[in-house]
Amino acid sequence: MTRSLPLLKGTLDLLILKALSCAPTHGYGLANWLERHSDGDLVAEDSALYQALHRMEGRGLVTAEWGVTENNRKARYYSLTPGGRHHLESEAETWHRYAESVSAILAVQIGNA
Amino acid sequence: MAGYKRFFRLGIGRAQDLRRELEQEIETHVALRTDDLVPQGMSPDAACEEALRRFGDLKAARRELYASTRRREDRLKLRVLADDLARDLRLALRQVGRAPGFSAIAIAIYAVAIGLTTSMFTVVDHVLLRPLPFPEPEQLVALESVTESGDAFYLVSMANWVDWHTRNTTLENSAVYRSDRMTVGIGDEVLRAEVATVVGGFFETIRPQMDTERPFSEQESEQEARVVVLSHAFTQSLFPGEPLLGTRLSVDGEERTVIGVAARGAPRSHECPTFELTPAALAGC
Repeated sequence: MTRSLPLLKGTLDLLILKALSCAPTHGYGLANWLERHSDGDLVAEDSALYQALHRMEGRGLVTAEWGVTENNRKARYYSLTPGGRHHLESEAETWHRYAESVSAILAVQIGNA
Repeated sequence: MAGYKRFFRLGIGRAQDLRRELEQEIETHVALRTDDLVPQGMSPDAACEEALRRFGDLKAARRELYASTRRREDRLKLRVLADDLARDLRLALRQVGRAPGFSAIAIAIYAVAIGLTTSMFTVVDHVLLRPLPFPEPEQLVALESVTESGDAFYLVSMANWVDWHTRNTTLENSAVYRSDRMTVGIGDEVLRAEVATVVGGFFETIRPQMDTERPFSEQESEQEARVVVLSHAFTQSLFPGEPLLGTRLSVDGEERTVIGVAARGAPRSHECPTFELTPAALAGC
């Protein structure tokens, strides 16, 4: 837990969209998914997750409907809209380029510069 | 298709439902996390506490989530409304296209009916609804002469009016006026203007609001005072902002003194810009 990283601004939306592109799920499912796939490195406060979900719902990137969990609890299931899928693709692309550029710059050997 | 959308409109929540759904969502989240923590060796109470801690600031989250939900619902409502409107419009246009002749007739009938109603209302508004621009308009009456054959007209001989005026027992006061285009000279300016020559207690009868000073009195009428009262429109169009009180001017060559300016909206009998006090000789009183 101590080694978990704070989320960079703006990345939460991207991570949520990615999680939802695998399968529609509820908010807790998302929190779990993120923890599992980052080996616990990336931890967002649960409330921030919901704020991001509601915000993206407002922008039409995700849509929600009520369903029932395996242990019979009423939960709101979120899924990607076609617009959300498109947004994920373009944002992922941007993120890759950004990360590569930052990594490349950080990899510059002093003396070669 | 229409039924499809209307069905979904029912899905838009009221404020109360939105709040309840939000609470349900948070509650489920905390419960699910608690369910997962207990098998890891936590007591149910400690698990619940930990789940709440991980959720973050519950109060702030509630507030923000509720606000964003409201915004989303409002937008949705607006969209449904716009969709409905667009659909109705499309339907209307399709029907116009299907029966152009019938539609043209229907539209023409509507146009004529609306036009008639509007003009009718304009008349009613001016004649019946909007009060005359004088104090106690309900006390004012217009007198007309009736001939032996039963024809009525708004003309009266001076002698007849003097009889009406002196023998009258029902009316508080009465006056006559006559409106003519006359030559008015003020300083170097000479112009043709509508001038009402008034006799008797004209201003005491209609009691117009005055911008400056006073209207003249019946007494002045009897004394043949050579005075005029200018209308608001006349002074505004020709001498805006200038103090005209006491100015001497000529009406058809006769010298007159301005003793007052009537307020905007004050009576302008047939748009007459000035009220001139008639010589007593003509008034015959």
